[in-house]
Amino acid sequence: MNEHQDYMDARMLHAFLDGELDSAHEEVLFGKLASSSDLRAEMQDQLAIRTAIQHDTDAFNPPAAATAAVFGALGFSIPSSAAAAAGLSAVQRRWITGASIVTAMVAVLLLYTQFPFTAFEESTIPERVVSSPSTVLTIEETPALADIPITAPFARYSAAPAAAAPSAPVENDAVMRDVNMASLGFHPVASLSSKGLAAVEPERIRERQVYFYDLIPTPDGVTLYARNVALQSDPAPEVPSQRESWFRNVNLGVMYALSEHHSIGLEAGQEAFPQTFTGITETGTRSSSQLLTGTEGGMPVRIEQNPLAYWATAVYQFNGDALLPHVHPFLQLQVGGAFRLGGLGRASVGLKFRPVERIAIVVGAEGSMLMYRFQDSWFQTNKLGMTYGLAYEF
Amino acid sequence: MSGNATHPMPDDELFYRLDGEKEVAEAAFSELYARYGGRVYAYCLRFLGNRDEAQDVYQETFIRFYECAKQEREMTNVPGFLLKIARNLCLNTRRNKKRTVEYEDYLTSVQPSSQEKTELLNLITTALDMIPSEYREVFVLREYQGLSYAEIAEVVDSSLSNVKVRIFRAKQKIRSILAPYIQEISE
Repeated sequence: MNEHQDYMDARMLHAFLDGELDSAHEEVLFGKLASSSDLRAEMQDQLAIRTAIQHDTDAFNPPAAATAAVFGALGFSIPSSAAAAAGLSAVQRRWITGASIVTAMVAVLLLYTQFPFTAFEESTIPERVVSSPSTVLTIEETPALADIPITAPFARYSAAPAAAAPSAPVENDAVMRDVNMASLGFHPVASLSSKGLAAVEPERIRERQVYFYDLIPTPDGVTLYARNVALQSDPAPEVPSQRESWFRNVNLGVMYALSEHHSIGLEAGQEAFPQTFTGITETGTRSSSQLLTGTEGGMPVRIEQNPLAYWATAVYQFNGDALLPHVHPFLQLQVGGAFRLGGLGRASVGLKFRPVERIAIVVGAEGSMLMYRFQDSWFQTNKLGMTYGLAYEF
Repeated sequence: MSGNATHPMPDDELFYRLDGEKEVAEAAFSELYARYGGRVYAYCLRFLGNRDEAQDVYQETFIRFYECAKQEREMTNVPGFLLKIARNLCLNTRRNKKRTVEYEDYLTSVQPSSQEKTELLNLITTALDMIPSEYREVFVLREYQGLSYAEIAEVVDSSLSNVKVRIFRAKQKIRSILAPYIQEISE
């Protein structure tokens, strides 16, 4: 009798858990549950089983290869939603897309607001001047130059009216050089008052000092940096990399400052690039699906790999004016390639914090795109995330 | 008004579009695949317990589904129709399969994949392999597909009372297999 009752109680419990128990029996079941520890234990076990099944992601995600085979056999292209099922969720994909757009907008805004578009019209300092040691300008020489009137060609590139610069013969090589530079589009440091260079701030004059070692490469203006990247990939890595490396996600670079705002350089690193691409096997093997439908040709396949590859790029970096003390924004664009994979483009935007002289801490957002080709089709791997590192400025 | 996110196109409308021009058919097929691909695969995988077989059946299910759409004009239950195709193919596969389970096959079926992270889930998939297929099938339809007893009866072409009993026994058997482990895990 008890055994039969237990059986009926258990059936009631199962029907309740499956949403199939009518309300009249629910009251009875609740009473049984209150008094029977065995029944409660069974309920807990069944709920544990159900919860585990709900996390059976392996079962609810068809393999990408199966999806490719189905769509290939029917002559359809693989839908992005199916690809998403094998990789990132729709929410993650939307997040990456949105964040990419926001990053790009920030980069454009930064470029627009910080880039000195008018620099070549108003700047008065040729940053790098090739000269011989005999033409070095120093502050000590400045008084002698102060009385030298500004020539007309010089004034032509100035912001001040040409009439303000009285015409006079050129008496100094240094000024002559300024004139020549002006004719080439460079602009001397002098304010364009009739007082000439005397009106120039000493600090600004010091910047236009030209030394012999400007003629040869020196560490001056060179920055070495190391940074790490933490990027989420689309497609997401379906398979682990076949090997690991301590150098993974570490980027090393060297930059050379062309000016206060512009630098160029080289950067290299090692990263895993998850790849998902489709193609047709060349073996002529036909899948069961193709046998069923009579589809000719090789088997459509979807290939997933996650190679760890070295990459190298040329780098352009724009450094904005300080937003806060010791904090400068930057925008970095890179073009290059990943060894044996394809072309690589990277873009990052962020902040440089210089707590002490010569040392900078870099934090930013970064996106990258790897383009590669397989069987006449182009595929891409996008990454988005953050970067952080240290730079030493010589 | 064009289709919108708040009112997705009904299954039957998508089904009828499969007989349209290629672009229309492709879009409709992609949508139905996105809606039910996971459920069909879960059924195949957990019913058959073998990944290779499940993939073959899964692919054939959708191909036959598409071919049927060219002929069938009445459709009221797309997921049920898909599951019926998958079920027939699964039963054929099991019928044709050599009943002797070789050691290698056993390993294939019980080895947890990298995605089967929880210990209990691994045990459940193993337990599913240990119960009779008529129990396993209704269990999968109930727990993986979320079908009601009546829907399951329709898919397996059996009586409601028979389905109720089979589901109950399936759950009891799986619990009896897992009970020691569940207790151990919970401790």
